[in-house]
Amino acid sequence: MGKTLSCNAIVDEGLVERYLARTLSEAEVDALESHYLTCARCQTDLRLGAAIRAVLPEVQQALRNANQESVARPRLGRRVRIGAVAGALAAVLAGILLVRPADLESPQHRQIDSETEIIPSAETPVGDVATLEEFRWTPVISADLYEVTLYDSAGGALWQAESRETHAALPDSVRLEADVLYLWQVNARVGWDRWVASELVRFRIAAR
Amino acid sequence: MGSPEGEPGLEVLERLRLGLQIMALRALRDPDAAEEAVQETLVRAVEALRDGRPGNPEKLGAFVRGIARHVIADVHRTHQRTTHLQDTPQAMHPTSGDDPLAALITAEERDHVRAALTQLSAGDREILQLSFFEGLTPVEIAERLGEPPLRIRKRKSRALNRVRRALLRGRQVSRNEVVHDR
Repeated sequence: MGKTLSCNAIVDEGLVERYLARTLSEAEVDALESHYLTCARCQTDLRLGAAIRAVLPEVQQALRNANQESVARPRLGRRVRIGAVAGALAAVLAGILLVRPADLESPQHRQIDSETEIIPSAETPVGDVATLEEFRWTPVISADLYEVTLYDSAGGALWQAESRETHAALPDSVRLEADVLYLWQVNARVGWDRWVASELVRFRIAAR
Repeated sequence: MGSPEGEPGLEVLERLRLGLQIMALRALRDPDAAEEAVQETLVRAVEALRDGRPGNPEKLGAFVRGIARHVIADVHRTHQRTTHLQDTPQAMHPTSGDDPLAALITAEERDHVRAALTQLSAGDREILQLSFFEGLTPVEIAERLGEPPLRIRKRKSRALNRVRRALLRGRQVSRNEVVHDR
């Protein structure tokens, strides 16, 4: 029979993943199956892998479709766009009313992975912040221009700026109040009149 | 391995059952045929255990695997599955929606795993895709993505932990248990 395996060696060598992907040699399959038949931990990892293989393709496809729709959508005029955003804000705000205060105090923003993003992601400010020094977002590889917009909680645009960098500072002329909810969004220009938008992000400057 | 009376312990058989289900589903790609193979293997394993085989309890996994391989081959012949489906391109394709092991996952578990995968970053999903569909090791993924292997290992581990917790929550819902997030 083949070599004896340990759970740690199986994890380190990615044997479960390769077993499910059918890229193991016969000897490796022999050793792995002999191990996991009596190992609850590795059986759990195999179920986990089976679940990922069962669900990940549909998740990837759904996200690809959503991104394609976003990229294909022509850029609207500023007035129309702000009106549309205001509508979206209304929906978001309806959701915000259902958000517990604790959710805002401990924002769980999704992890940033700039090298593979095709839409920009807001980095800061997100959730409760002590101060607002600038707006920062992740880069989009093909973008040559970004447009950041700040909204009040009613969906009114307070400020808008363009930047070729992935950050923009709020001018002194725009003063934000503490303990008031604001939202912001960044659009990235990825082609001739083609823009992709980040999610609307909410934040609040903590009262001192 | 055996009970004081010489009968194999139920916990041993139950542990073997899930492992055998995984093995049989992967090989046969048919839940009914797999269940048939699992039952027959367990019957033969119980008989062997009663006879005191294998002599070394640490060899139980390899011993039962040997039985299972023969049974699976028999069932395979019985069901006249002459095509090695596991070698077809579709089985390797990431969009394949008919993974045989999906039969082990309940609808509730799928829902929870779907939500967890959606919340991962695109990069972390790519790492899982390269791992579970292309069978790449963290070192190979690191080479492909141009990142340090250690970073890939950490990201993969973190992503798997998130999905693992989601799977557990889904399982608890499936069993109608109270869910406590960690």
